[in-house]
Amino acid sequence: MPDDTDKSSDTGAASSRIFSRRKFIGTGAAVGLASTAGCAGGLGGGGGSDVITVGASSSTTGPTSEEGLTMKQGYELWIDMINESGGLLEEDADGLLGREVELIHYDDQSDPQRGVNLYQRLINEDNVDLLLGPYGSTVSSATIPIIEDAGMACVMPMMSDTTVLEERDVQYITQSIAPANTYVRSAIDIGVENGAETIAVVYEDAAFPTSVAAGHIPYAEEQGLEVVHEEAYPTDINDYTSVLNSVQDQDPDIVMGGGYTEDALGLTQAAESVGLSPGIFAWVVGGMAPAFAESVGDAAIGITGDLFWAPFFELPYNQEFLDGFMELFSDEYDDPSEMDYHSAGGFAGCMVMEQAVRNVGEIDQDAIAEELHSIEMEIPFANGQYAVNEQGIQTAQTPSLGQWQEGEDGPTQEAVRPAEYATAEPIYPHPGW
Amino acid sequence: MVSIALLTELIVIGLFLGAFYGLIAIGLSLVFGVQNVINLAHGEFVMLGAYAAFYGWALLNLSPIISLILSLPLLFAFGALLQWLLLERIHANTELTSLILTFGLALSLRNLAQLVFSANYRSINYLTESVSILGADVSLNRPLGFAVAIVITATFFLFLRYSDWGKAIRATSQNPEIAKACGINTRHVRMVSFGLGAALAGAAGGIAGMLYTIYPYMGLQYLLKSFVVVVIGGLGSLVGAVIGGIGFGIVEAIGTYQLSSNEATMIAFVLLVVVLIVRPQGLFGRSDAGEE
Amino acid sequence: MSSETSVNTDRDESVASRSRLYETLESASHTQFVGALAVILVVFLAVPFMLNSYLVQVLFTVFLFIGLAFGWNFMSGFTGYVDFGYAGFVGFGAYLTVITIVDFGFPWPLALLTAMVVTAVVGTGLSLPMLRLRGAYFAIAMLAAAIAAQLFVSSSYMRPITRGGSGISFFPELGLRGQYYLAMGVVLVLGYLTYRIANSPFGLRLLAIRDDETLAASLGVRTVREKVIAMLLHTAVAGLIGGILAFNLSYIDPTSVFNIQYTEFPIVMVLFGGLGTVLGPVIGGFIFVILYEILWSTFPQAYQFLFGIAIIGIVLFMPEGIIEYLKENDRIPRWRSI
Repeated sequence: MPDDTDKSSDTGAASSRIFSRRKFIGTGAAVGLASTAGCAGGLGGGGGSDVITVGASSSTTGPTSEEGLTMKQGYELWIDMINESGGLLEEDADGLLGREVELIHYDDQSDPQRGVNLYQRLINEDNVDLLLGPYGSTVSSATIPIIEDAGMACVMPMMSDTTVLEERDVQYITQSIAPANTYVRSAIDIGVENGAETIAVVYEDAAFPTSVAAGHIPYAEEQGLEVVHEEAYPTDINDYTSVLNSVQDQDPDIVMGGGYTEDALGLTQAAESVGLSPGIFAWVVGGMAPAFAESVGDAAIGITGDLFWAPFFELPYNQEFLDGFMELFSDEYDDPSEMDYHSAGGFAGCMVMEQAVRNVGEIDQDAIAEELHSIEMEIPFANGQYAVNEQGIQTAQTPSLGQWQEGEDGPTQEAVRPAEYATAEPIYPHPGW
Repeated sequence: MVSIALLTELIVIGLFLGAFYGLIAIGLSLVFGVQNVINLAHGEFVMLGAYAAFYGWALLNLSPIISLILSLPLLFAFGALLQWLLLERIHANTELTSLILTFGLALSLRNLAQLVFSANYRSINYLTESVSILGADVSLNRPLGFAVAIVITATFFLFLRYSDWGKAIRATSQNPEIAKACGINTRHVRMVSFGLGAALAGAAGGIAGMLYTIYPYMGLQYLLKSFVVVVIGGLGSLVGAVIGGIGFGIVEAIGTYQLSSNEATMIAFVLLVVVLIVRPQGLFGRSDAGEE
Repeated sequence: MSSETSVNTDRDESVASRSRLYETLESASHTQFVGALAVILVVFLAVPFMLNSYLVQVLFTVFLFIGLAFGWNFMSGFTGYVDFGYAGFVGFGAYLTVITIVDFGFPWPLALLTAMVVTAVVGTGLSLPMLRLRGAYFAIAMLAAAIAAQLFVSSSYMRPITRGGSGISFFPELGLRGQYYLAMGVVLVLGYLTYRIANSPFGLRLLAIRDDETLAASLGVRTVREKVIAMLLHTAVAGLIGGILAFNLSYIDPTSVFNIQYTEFPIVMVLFGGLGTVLGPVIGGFIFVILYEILWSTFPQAYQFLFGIAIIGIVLFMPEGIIEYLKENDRIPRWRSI
């Protein structure tokens, strides 16, 4: 918990940082050995008085590099917007709390252990003022204990697995994305509407995909479907065909699961190899990633997945986000259709943090954490809402379901559910290979 | 349980897989046979072969098979170089020293690859159309990989049998002292065989690159699997490596289908340990295996 | 080697070139040694109060790996049976610790004790058949066993208990400072134990096994019994350290706790220091972990590559380790106790 001795280091000049830290630690030690070490480093005391440092890691390399990189781009856009024009939330704002914002970012290589070390560094060595979450449930969940321990508020824009939030008493952290168990329920609905009777669920043996399966299987059964095959394949799987061979034998109407973009890719290619063509496919995360469609080309047509954002969604702040992003990353993106929803997710998470900070008016981790739990706001992501319960679990969002359909230059993203916002009718059954 | 049609399907898949594993195992067995060294970096040669195939594909639009023409000589030269530079120095030392040396080599290569190629996953999208072979629906690149593996293996056996270098290698494998006494430059033989081992692994790597995901740490699993193959087939026996490879491929295909890939692999390793304890020389290996 | 006269001349010359370190060590009295150790001890005890948490974390990691190095040394350093699957025991201990805490509510000391004992008994028990193997075969068998252990933990049968690939996230009762002292304590105990073993008949018997097992057996050494005892120590340490590691990570999954670095690093450290020596793991440990942190800060991607190169370098140039190298060149006294 922050105590008063800490505030002094906020206003001190850089040179006196060492002394105030020592003094604080001396006091802290005197207070009692019962205090866990994490407290010592993580409080207040930023890099300097006129810059607010925001720390995060993401997987810019490794198995989830697509996702990590695009999410980071969302962070970068937010930083850029705050510094340029004070961001989207306040009119004529001067930076954040009158200060510039700087991003301190590391590559965690999609490795949770590395992520933990990096957050420890951000908290204790770089002494960042604010924290943002990493990419993915695996790395995010792993970092929760140390962030909690340090008493720093944090938004997890890309942690949809709620296990840790449910099982532990987490005070400082919230998720700004819908829980995993809601991701592709619409695909199941579409199947049922079209007379589907059986479903196969194959997924990566990791936190998020497991959570997806755990959430969707009961839902499928409730809808009267029979689960004919369920399999968790290892993360370092090489050959997806062996997994799908077993699925093929059961001839299911719905095939869902996967893990990340890598999985969507491997599974789709394997499905083509073994000639698996059910009523509908639903791959989480990767299913609607532009990178996925780019890799498999027309094989993407008919594949569905969670679509948390698309350029044509009518969401609050979406146009500003879109324009700002295309301008900042004009070298890498020719067209908004190439943008990945993870950028929007990262950006939205930053906006939530921004709102909380503006509401509090200063860098006070406890107060910010409280704000994160109590605010409700609009964001350019999912259905445009952010609201969490006391556990920090997202309650207001439902993801859309997207599907790749034929377009002029190849597969195009269409939103097929919810019906009110749909841009096209879902294709059922799968068009075959 | 399993119908005949299904069994046939699994055997076909297993055969394709097995030829591939056999190719990797031959290289490992060859090096052991010639100089009593277990090359823990063998998997890294597979990885390098895969990356060579990938870059040939991505940068030069070469089919992975064509790029073998370029990558094989390169890997051969690299292998021979490593032998000359590192292994020759500890040649007279114990088995353990070479084990630790190749271990260090594996670490270095793996991480160098990560530095140079980045940790991102790569894949080659080549000949992925589905074909049906004896009831098994597989992508076209699989039977192609099988064919390549068979051709290279056959070529290698012919080379060993009929060429001068092949004879020299076989002689050195059997008895280095006598080979030397007969005027064979055992040092050169070691270099050539290590280079060949690397090239064979690289060829398998090219096939792997075509079929599977490519990433810097991919070598380890192939090393471990080829251990199982080589131990069961018999360290030092090339025939054992091929037969063991095919057998392993079929068992893995069936095991993965019945259980899951994780469990199938786990059983493979338990089997490895059992074989090491019960019959360390495997099926075709030398009977002095397992002892100092 | 050389004849009587040349030996004498060599010794005269080497006496002249003995380093100051040698002289200092040789002439130091028992009290001075204890005194020096005490000072070092006090410094390390004070660290959590003087440095920030990040540095405490670094030193914790140093102690952790030194502990592992000592544990590995008990078996592989002394008996020469190179265990390439040490990470298997570490991971096993980590899972045992976390599961007993999360699912059975064990207090952390009991959890660690359980992990230590169970890993020792089960680990040694399962490895017994492999102790019949020699050299490279033993190493490979242990590697295979470690991989099998990891696959077993992530298998679908064990998922209800281990949560498979999803991993287990928990809030350890023991904070970083506590972990630091615990790790330090373990290292001190293990260091002392190694010192005692190295100078004992037991230690000599182990070294005899390393030099020539058949000969040792024929001279009456009960090789099986000695190997089993060494193995028990070896696996117990791994189980214990696995548990402490779990506290530090606060999130475990098969990939992180069975990570091959828990085999690799101790090997490098012990190799560098010297197999079967006391100071070997310590010096090797400090140098490598600190190097690790420096490299990781400067080249977050390159450090493992450099370790690979280091292993190659050591094997080529200093296969006996730095302590032995120094001893052979008369840089430090040739006491068995170091």
